Amino acid sequence: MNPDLETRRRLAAARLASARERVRVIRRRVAIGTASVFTAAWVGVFGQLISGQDPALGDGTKSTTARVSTTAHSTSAARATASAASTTASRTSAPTAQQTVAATPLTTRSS
Amino acid sequence: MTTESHPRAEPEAHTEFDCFGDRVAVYAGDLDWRGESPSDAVERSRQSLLAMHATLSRFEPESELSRLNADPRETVPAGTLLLTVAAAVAEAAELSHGLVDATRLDDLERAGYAFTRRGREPIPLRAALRAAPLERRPAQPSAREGWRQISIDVREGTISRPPGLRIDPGGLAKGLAADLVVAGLEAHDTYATDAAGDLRFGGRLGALREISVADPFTAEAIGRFRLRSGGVATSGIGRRSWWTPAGSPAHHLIDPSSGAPAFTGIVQVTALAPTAFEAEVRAKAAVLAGSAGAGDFLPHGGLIVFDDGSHQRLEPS
Repeated sequence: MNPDLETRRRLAAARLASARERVRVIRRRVAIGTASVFTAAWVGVFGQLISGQDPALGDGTKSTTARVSTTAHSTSAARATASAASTTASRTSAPTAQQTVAATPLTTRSS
Repeated sequence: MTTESHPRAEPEAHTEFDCFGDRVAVYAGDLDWRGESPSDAVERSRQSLLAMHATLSRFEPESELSRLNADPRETVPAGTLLLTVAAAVAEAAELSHGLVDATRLDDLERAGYAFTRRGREPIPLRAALRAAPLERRPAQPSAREGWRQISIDVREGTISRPPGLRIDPGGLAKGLAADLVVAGLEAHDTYATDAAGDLRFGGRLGALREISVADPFTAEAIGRFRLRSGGVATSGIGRRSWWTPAGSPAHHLIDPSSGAPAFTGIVQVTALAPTAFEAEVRAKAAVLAGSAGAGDFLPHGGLIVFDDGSHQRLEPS
């Protein structure tokens, strides 16, 4: 066999192996980096969600838990005392985006 | 579910006012997606409900309903709300198999309900039952079926019916109004409309809301439902009742077959349904159907109160 040809072949094989190794290293780094970034992002998002600070829901103190008020609602009393049409909304502390709203108990009666 | 532990829970904004011959209330919680405040939302809803009342009151001679009922033409131009009501009259009759017939205004007036009873005390229910005809029997649909003679043309914006056939949506209008007004509240976390006892409620949060049923004899709560959304209505013979000049008890639930107030053995029914309108129809139909047939009209659940004061709760089937 021609020694020059054999040498060139070995050199080419070595370069090819070296190139493949570099590609493997780069792929591994990219994969590890991507996984790390993805995991870090998820840890951040998950942390926000479980702490009740979902930015999609607005302010950090907002909770999605609904509350049913267990205090007696004064529908009957209000009906008895209110003799004329009146908007009480202006006298009521209007809920804001930072507050959880209690669903007012209602009474159904024959109309 | 968090109950007492959440320190930030706030009451809903609400407004309460005279409408439909009774008290009406609207509730809303939290901002909607457009940024409308709950206070603004309930005020807007109040204006809508008052406008609906002005259109649909049979006690206001200038209301669109009164003008339709008095119009000698067979086909009469009508606004969107009145067209909706005319369609709802047919829907109510179909749903109740003819028992809820909103074309029996002549019978209702003959029974004594020719003027608003706002501010008038009803007669004591037990006294009315003692004085009522002894035989309790279910109401039956009328062979006349006046509701079938109503037709609407949505494109032309007209209602056609034989002149003289008058419409009295009564409680149906309240249920319908409750449903219509919440269409503008659905973006809020919580909302509710109490249209003279006909309730429609819901909200983005899916919050549980406690609904109490008032006893027609004592006005105390005799049942409670915890619901996230839907409609609840109560119909009965105890609230709008009076003595006739002949000394007989009368009320506003007319047996279509006889044209007289119905005494069926049931004094009140509360119906649950997806909408307040459907709940109103089902509650009325169940009272008129009597003990044997009431349950058939309550597939979503409800509560029936009988003449003797006992009651039966029906869970959704």
